[in-house]
Amino acid sequence: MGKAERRRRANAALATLRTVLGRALGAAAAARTAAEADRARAEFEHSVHSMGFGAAARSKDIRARVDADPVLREVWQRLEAERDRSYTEWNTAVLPQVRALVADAAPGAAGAEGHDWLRVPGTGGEPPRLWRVGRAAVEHAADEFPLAVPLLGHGHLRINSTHGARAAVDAIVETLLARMLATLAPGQLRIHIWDIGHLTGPLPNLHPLSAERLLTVHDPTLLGDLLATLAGHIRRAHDSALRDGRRTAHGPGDPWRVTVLFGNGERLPDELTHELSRVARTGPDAGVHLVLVDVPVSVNSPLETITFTGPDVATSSMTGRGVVVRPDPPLPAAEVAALASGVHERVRAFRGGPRSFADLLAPAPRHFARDELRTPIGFAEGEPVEVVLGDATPHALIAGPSGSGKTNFLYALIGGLASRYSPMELELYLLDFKEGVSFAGLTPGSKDPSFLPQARLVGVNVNTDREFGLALLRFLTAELARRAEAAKRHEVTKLAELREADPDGHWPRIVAVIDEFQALFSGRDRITQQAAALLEDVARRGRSQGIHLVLASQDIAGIEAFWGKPAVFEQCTLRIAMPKAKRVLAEQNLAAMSLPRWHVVVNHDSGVGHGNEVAHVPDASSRGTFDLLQRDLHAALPTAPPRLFDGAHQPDLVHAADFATPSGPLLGQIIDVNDRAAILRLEAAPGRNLAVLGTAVADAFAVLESAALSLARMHVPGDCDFSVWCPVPALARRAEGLAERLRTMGHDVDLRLDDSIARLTPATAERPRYVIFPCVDGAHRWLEAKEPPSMTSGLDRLRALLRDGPAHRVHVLGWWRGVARLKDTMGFGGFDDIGAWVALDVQGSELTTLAAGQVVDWSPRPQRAIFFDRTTHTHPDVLIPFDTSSALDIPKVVDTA
Amino acid sequence: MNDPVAEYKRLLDTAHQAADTHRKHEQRRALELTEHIRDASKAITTASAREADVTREITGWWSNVTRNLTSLVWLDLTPPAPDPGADPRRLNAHLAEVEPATSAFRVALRRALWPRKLP
Repeated sequence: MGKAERRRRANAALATLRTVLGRALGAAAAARTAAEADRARAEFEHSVHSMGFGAAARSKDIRARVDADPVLREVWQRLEAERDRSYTEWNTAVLPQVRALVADAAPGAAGAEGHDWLRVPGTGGEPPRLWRVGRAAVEHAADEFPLAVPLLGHGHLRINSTHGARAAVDAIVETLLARMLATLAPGQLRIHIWDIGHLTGPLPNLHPLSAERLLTVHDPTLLGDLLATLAGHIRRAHDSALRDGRRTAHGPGDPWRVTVLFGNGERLPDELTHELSRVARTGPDAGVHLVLVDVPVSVNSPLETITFTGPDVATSSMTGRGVVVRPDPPLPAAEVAALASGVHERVRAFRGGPRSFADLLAPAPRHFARDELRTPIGFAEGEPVEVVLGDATPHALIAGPSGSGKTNFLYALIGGLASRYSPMELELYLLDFKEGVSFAGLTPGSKDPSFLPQARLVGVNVNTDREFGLALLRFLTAELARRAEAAKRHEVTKLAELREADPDGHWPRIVAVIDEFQALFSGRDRITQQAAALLEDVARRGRSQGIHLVLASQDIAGIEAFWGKPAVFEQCTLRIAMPKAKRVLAEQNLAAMSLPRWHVVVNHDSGVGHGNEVAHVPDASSRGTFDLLQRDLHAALPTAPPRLFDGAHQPDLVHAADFATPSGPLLGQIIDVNDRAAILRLEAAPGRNLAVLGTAVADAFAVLESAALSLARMHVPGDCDFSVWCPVPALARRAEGLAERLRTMGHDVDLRLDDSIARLTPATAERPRYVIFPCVDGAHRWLEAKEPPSMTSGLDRLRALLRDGPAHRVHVLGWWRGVARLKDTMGFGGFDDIGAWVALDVQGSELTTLAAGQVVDWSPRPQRAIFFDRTTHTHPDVLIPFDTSSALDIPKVVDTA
Repeated sequence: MNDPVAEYKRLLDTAHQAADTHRKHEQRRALELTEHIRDASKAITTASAREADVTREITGWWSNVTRNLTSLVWLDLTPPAPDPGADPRRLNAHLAEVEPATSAFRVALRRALWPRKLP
């Protein structure tokens, strides 16, 4: 073996040794490296578990390490697999169920993705149980599912924002409302928005809805008013449900009211918080729902919450912990606005323009007034606003300055009631103390013979005839007593029970409307005292007997008669405030101050703010409104016409009810609810003479003529005699006219116009004799002459006639032009032989001696008189002398030849 | 239809239960890993010490073997380098091979130098 070969073998052996040593070195290093890698894997996995897989998945650091290190990537993949194993049931079985559930409970526009659903307004039907507001994902899972919340008919939604999240919050709210618009029938959603931070309206894309009042943006400073409005609606809805026997206050077809409150995260004042809690507690049952954005309030009713933790990340009470919520992207503004416009157009088309008087009316008067009277009087957001007169609101108080629309409102009220309740169910007594004839059209007129069938009495131009108001109250009190007696007889307490117990009886509800009723209390006199007492009585007892007062006035605070006697106002729990009306609502309730024209505040809660309902009252008094209704009702409901009392016109004797078959001499029309004349008792008894006092010639003659003509009608010709003595030439023609008329009626008339009057007539007669003696004092010049041989004067004989005549059926109906002149005639004998008198333009103080010493409260006024019969009266009656011109007309004899 | 809100929340409860289960698993694993990391640290210490020992012994051994051989310019005295493919489980086996390989090298070197003696 050569040297070279031996060297090569030595090198090879050294290389083998080097290899062995290298493997040993490598094995030792690899053992260390393996231990290090094992720890690194364990540390990585530990860090993932420590922060949770969900958080680790969102960690950029973890992601970078996984991307950079294949070993860690391997670990990560293993952890993912472990996670998937934990969520196997959720991912495979439950997640599809969640999607199916939302698809089922939020069908169509309520739960659709994207925005194709925006194009068509809704068609109605039951509202979905859920509404999509975004998407959600379980923290560990990649698959998203829809986030949906309940609202209509169930509860409220609260959204808590955070810095930078307002845009997302607005998007959620707008999307939610848009889904409702695209689901519900047009008009079935009313949106109220209150934003503490915005003077101009938030959610501007929805503003086309405001034209039909489907959306109302409220003043940031008037949250209290908004809550009061909602509370009032809730209360009324509950009342309506009780009345209709419904289980829920929100009836089928009632619109939903969604109120969005944008707060600033600060707590509201305690008063508003309590009111908001009350609305939240009771609202869902009445279709009132809240979306509370940054409004911290405790709500004792179903409420779901979305709480933003970042600009577009949130959590939700629907999904609970560990679920990330993201709002759906904002909808295209133009498409939302187009949807809102579409809804607005359809509502406008459906409503057919502004609501009119005809919309207040029922098709036929078929309602029953057993429990209450109920009618719409106007509209709010297109929906009718009702007025109720019943147990809870027996009487109404209406206030508003002149020209604010009170009369129009009264026409709307009367029209609504008349179209619903027949005369068997409703009787109206209408009194207007204003100068004018606002209710006169409800009675038959010369141009329009129709009248309102339910009206039983219409009083117009009674501003100076406060006695007529008093008479109405007396009538109502008497009716109260009659009903109370009937109720007692049937052992019941209320009208509704009385109607059941006495089904054949006529027990309509009575509504007495007194416009400008403060005029009734304008003086400090007996009328005011009596009227205040009677009104209080009717107000207290009318509720149970179905007698309702509707009192209208410009300013109720100035009625001195009620100071310290609040009972009347307290009983008027229904308050109606016209624009700028003062004091009719509660002190803190200023809703009337901001009312636009043709609107009213209707409040069934004694004027407290939460009872407010603002309604637009359609024109009810122009031609073609109420008059048409009246004509229709008149044609459909045959009844007797109402009594019209028009203070501006003298009643015609011919048309007086008592003149048809008079029971005695008629002196004039008594100011009373019934068409009643003052009738003098003329039996054969001492003192049955009449003195007419005063200088009003026409009135004095009217009284005497009425008496004479009615007596002439009472007796058949030949059954009595008349004497007509007129000593004043200027009045002779009128006396002749009366005598002529009496003769044409077949009676004998002893007409004297000269000194023959002094002969007088015997104080005895075989048949009744009525001496009509105008201007008795004018005959004194003849009567004072003494005739020999007895030297008795005509005056003495006249006194004897007055004293002795009545017992022998000779009665004097004379006219003296003053109390003093009557005294001259009567002398020292006093007034015992004047049993009754009618005073015209004579001051009350002059009449004391004629009225048994009592103070007579009377100030003369044109075409009015007072009548006192000492045998029957405690106080004088005010009467209106008849217009006798028709009665004096002599019928023309038709020449048949 | 049952109350969809209650149903929705009931279904979501499945996810919450899964999250709870997974969270408990992660907590348990985190505890286990804490122990494991402690053991792994010990193993690293042991392996590092062993590696240092092996490196020192092998370096010394190589020095002894190649001492006085620098004059033999035909002999390749490149020191050994760690073999990255070596199996750590065969470390002792590799160490056991060192003496036989060294003896084999000395025999081959003596023959290559004959008739001279080893330096």
